[in-house]
Amino acid sequence: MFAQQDKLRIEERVTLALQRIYEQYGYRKYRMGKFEEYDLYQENKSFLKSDSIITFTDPSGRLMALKPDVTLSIVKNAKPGLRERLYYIENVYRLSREHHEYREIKQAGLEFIGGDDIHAEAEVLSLAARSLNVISEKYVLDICHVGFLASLLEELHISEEQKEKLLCCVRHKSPHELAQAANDAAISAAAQKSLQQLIALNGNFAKSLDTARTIALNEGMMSALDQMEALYTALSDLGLATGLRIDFSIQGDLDYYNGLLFRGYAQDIPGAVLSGGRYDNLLHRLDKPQGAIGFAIYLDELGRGMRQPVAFDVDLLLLYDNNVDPAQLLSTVSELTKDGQSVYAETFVPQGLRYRQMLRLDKGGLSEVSKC
Amino acid sequence: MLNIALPKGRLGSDVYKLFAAIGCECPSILEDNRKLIFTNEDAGVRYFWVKPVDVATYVEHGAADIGVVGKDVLMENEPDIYELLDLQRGCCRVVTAAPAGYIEDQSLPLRVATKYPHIAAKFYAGQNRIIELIRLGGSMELAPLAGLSDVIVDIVETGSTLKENNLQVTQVIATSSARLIANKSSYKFKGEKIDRLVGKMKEILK
Repeated sequence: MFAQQDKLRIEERVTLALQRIYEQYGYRKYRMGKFEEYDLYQENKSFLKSDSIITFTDPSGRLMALKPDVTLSIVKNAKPGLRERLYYIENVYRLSREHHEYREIKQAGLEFIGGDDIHAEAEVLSLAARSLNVISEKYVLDICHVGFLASLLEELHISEEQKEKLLCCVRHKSPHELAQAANDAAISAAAQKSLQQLIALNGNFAKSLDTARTIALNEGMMSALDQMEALYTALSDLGLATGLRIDFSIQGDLDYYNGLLFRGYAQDIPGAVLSGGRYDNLLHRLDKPQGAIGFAIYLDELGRGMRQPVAFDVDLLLLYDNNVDPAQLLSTVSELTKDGQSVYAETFVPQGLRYRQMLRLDKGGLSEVSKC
Repeated sequence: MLNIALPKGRLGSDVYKLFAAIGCECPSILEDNRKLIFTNEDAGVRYFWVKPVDVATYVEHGAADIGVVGKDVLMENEPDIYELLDLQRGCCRVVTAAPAGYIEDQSLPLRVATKYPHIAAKFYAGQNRIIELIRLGGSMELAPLAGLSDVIVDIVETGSTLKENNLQVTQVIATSSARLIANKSSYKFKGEKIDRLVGKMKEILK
């Protein structure tokens, strides 16, 4: 039997559950309008996932944009120095890379403005894990520390262009391309080996951490790993660490991100559904002294993977006779819906309507006509 | 079950032999028929034959967990995938070519015919050269001969087609070969299986 709850689309079910979790942890809902001044996005273009923004001019001649992102607006409006826990469920407007057309995308997210300490990181990361768990019991939460790879590359003393090439190979976990780029940049065999080990990390967190420790060249890299280990331990105690993994192929723009970065995947959903990290640098760019950490969930991705086949539009089609008393019809429908079934009452069989069962109601009462 | 997208054609058949050699065979695939999906439950693999340019799309959207695609296609479409292995098959170069004896007029935008608009645009932008892109679906060699374009950007294996049409390679943009790619999410959940497969394949390719 269909209960109404089951019929909620996965996005709707997830949205409700996320909202409940975030509010339980003291996060306040942030609401915003559909548009912002274009300048905000223009100045922080590389923070955005896509650089195509829908713009228009308002009556006073200011250039406005349909919001492609919520985090920037939250940060812009954050009070300097204040700690604030916020979450949002908003539509954002972006250009789809494949189809070259604008799309309205539903996004949920959470920001801990002023969450500068490891306690904030543990909280946000645990909420990311809980969020993924709502989407699917089988999930993976990849984490890394931007400082680790950046320090490693810093030690190589190569050009920005060569760095970008190496980063691209790491992003695609591509050992053959990495070997080529490493040769072109003439980096040492030891450094190349380290990079190859980094991109091969997959699976067990503790093992990956041990490997990464053998690669660490300096204090900064070690402390990045210590931080990741501390978070892993904190989440382990809650039973939330099973999906946690280390993955250095996650990258973020250093102009905005520093420290922790993470991505979440759920089984049967082809792309990342969650993306987040520490973005103190973005706050500093917008003249706020505090740091922040947060994540976004791409609710539109959910529909891509988890399509449930729809067998029926309604459970019951109730054909009623015109002579039937309206009160009798209403009470019959109300009775039938009591155990959660959906009912479509009509005097004829509507074209194209898929129903599980057809019932007839006449003066004599209810009778069964057919079962699909 | 591991879903594998293979490019239809000679490269696909060649690459299938690699898969078969590491225990992922699916004998029904060799039957001469028009079927597009072949499953071997025992080996836990399912193969799709798809158009070579579509392989990355199948993988990026998760319809296939892994696939085999030319680097030229990856450079053109820049899909969000992991590129795990160079299969050293289907080797070719992405080049610019022009009629023999062609002298470029730097004062005019260069007319470039290609089915790789992204690669071409990026390459010339890197040289600060203003170009006019002309998208074509095939028979690129004809474009400069018929006066449609000044040069072409295309892949070249042996160069014999160019030679027959009195064209010559002017610049090499990149080298390409078949790559094994994986969907990012699949790699998270079927990583061990994929890594095992990649490991075995590496052994064979040595």
